[in-house]
Amino acid sequence: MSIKVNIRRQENADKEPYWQSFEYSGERHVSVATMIDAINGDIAASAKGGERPIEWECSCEQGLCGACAMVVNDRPGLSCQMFCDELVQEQPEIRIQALSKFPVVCDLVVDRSEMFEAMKEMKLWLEAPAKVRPVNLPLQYEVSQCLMCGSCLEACANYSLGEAFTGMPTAMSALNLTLMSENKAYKKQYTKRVYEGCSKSLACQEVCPMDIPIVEAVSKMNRISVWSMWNLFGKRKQPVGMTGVNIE
Amino acid sequence: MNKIVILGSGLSGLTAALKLAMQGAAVTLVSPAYAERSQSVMAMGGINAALNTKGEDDSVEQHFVDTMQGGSYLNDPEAADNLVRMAPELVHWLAELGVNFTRDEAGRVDLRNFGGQKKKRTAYAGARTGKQIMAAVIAGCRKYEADGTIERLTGWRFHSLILEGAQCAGAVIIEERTQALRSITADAVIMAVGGPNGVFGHTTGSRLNDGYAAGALLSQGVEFANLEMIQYHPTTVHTATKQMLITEAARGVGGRLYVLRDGQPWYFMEEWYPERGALMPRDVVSQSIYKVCNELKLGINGGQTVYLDISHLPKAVIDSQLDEVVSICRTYLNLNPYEEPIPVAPGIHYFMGGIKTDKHHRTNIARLFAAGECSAQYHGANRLGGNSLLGAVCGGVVAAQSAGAVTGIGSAVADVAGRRALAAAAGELERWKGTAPSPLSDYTAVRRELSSLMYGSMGIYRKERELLAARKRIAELEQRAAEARHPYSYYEDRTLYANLLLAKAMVESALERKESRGAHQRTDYSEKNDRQFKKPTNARVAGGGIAVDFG
Ligand SMILES: Cc1cc2nc3c(=O)[nH]c(=O)nc-3n(C[C@H](O)[C@H](O)[C@H](O)COP(=O)(O)OP(=O)(O)OC[C@H]3O[C@@H](n4cnc5c(N)ncnc54)[C@H](O)[C@@H]3O)c2cc1C
Ligand code: FES
Repeated sequence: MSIKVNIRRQENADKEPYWQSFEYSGERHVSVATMIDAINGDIAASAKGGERPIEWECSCEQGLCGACAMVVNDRPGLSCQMFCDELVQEQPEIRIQALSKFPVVCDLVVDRSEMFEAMKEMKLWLEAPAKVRPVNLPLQYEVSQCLMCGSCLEACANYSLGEAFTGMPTAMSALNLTLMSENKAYKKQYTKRVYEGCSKSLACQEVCPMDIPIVEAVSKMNRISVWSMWNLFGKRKQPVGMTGVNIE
Repeated sequence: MNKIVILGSGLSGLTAALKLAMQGAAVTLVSPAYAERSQSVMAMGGINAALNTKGEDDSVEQHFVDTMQGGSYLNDPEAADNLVRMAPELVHWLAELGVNFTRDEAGRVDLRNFGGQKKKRTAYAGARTGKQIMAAVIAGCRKYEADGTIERLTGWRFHSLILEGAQCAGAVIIEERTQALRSITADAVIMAVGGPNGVFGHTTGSRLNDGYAAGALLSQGVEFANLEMIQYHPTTVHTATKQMLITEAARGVGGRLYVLRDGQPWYFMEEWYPERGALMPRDVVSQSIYKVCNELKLGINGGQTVYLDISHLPKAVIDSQLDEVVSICRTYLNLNPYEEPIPVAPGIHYFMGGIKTDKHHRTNIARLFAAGECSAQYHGANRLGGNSLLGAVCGGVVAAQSAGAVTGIGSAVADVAGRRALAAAAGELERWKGTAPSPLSDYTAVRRELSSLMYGSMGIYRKERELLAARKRIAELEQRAAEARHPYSYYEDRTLYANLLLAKAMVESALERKESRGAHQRTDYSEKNDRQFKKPTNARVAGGGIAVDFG
């Protein structure tokens, strides 16, 4: 029996989006990415000819590069890591669309340049040789796994293009750099561009394809950047809303 | 200050960009996608350096010997010497750049065993060495992107070299999605486009490395070395998507290879090579698996796979060092490697051959340099695990030094050459648009046939008859490709031509090497022949075909 797959398509930024349905009858335990490849194979082989294959981005095909992030059954994630057999257990049809927080380039391809620009604006780089504090290494390692795929920003209620809030990719990098340096600039950037805009829904942690311990990372960063200043000013009480996050 | 164009933002391209930017050169970095998407992030196992911190009396000299032996002495000895000597300082540089290497109890960069090497010499960052290294190098480059020293062109690919007489004056690039063309003149160009995975397809690496650039460079007169040397990694698993790598670290920490003989596990590598067992160089392990499956017919269910067993290892070791292996097995194979053995088979993983460069990473064309997997100098007939991240960083550093030191080309001369090259490229694109499109299926059929032809004739064992048949078939495919015009993508159309040309050069190189050495094993010439062939092959276009010589 085949699976009905609905894909939201858009030829380019200026054209109207539309939904198109496909039937997929290949192997079930395959990733959505592999299934899209197979659908494109069918399009190529179809007698009609001239039909445009589905555009999507990929590189590693195994969850290591972040290229293939999209929204499948209303959940953002890496299409090479979401499996058709598991998806059809939830609902009979599979629904695929591009990440909605970024401008569509074509079909499932979006322009994620804003994420990369934010890293530059926030000056997320080392100015001095890294300091190694072995106790911090495991967390530094985890937060450096960020693929810059954009899934967390898709899931985040507070992120939208062009706003000050830059979300977790920048927070993870800021924490890594803070832990390996004496530089306070990262904390300031973090406070301004992440802390102040984050409503702690933590939807990001749920969708992160690398299972980065975002809650732990954010609470650590909050402790060193925000609460340390708070304490300095003699206001010993923790800011409201942060209590739930302080798991350490 | 020099103006340099770098094509490719994997580890070698980024390292070169960072080093050049630190010297104040103006860098343009061109790649089809962000550096986070490059194949370099996929490397898991580690990077080699004789840091000698394990009380094993290691040295750069021993690293050199292992590298040369592993490469069956086709490596450029001067370049390899440079590689191993620079390695310790490069790993320290990476650590200072912020790479989160795994540390030993004393807080030093930890080292582990890797194939083809007798000493613990492979530095690693958990189970994701490539990703961790790339994260730090990307952050390093970011500073110079922010101040404009490095200009990034993402979504663009190499199209062709701008040639001014015998020298390179820049590159024409193409935006894949819009087919827009652009010329960038420069004092020097560094190619860092990675290995040509696209010629075969379904390799362990990245789909972005489509092999277009290599074929296009070959057609423009760039020389290639050792194209017949293609590494089959012994332990890959077959998934519906592609062959996926099971890192050598699995054997490095004690994973064992076996098949069932008379119902009992037979650890063939340990019996055949008691000293290093499953940690022999990759070519030897892949050839052994081939023998077990084809000559002894002991492959699992009579097929081409054998078992890799890690189930006896302590859970803590698997958790901390092999989590990626666990994740691949669970996600793609529905298999639990804590309890069950993993069925593995050799799969294409690395191209030792590539653009011929010397120890300064110069090519046969003035002002054109190459680094990383697209270039050939360090690895000879077989690459040791952990030597290619090292080669990518080292190549980036050396190519940056060489490119940074060229004299200015003179912008007037370069501009004229750039306009000419751009006009030629635009003219060709216009002509292409004027030809009648074919159904996409015609195009994909040629592509598929090329892939199966290459896997068939350029496998672990090769023979003259098959190589000659491949030569003939490629000529036919070239004919068909000329008729099967891609319906809408000029770039994809050109890529098929470029792949066919590179495939031809691979087959011709394999035909000429009438011996067995490293990754090139011939059933009709089963011995190594040092007298005639202890030299790299050189392939170039000549008289409408490919000419191959040695030296
Ligand atoms: C699964 C896996 C595991 C590995 N593990 C290890 C390991 O543990 N240790 C080790 O030493 N090695 C390992 N390797 C090998 C190693 O990762 C690569 O050889 C190395 O990273 C190559 O780096 P590079 O900079 O040359 O190329 P890549 O990282 O492949 O980058 C190539 C760049 O060129 C771009 N590009 C492609 N075509 C064009 C074009 N036409 N124009 C412009 N840009 C282009 C790509 O997008 C990319 O940015 C592994 C490889 C794989 C696949
Ligand atoms: S293609 Fe790399 S994460 Fe999916």
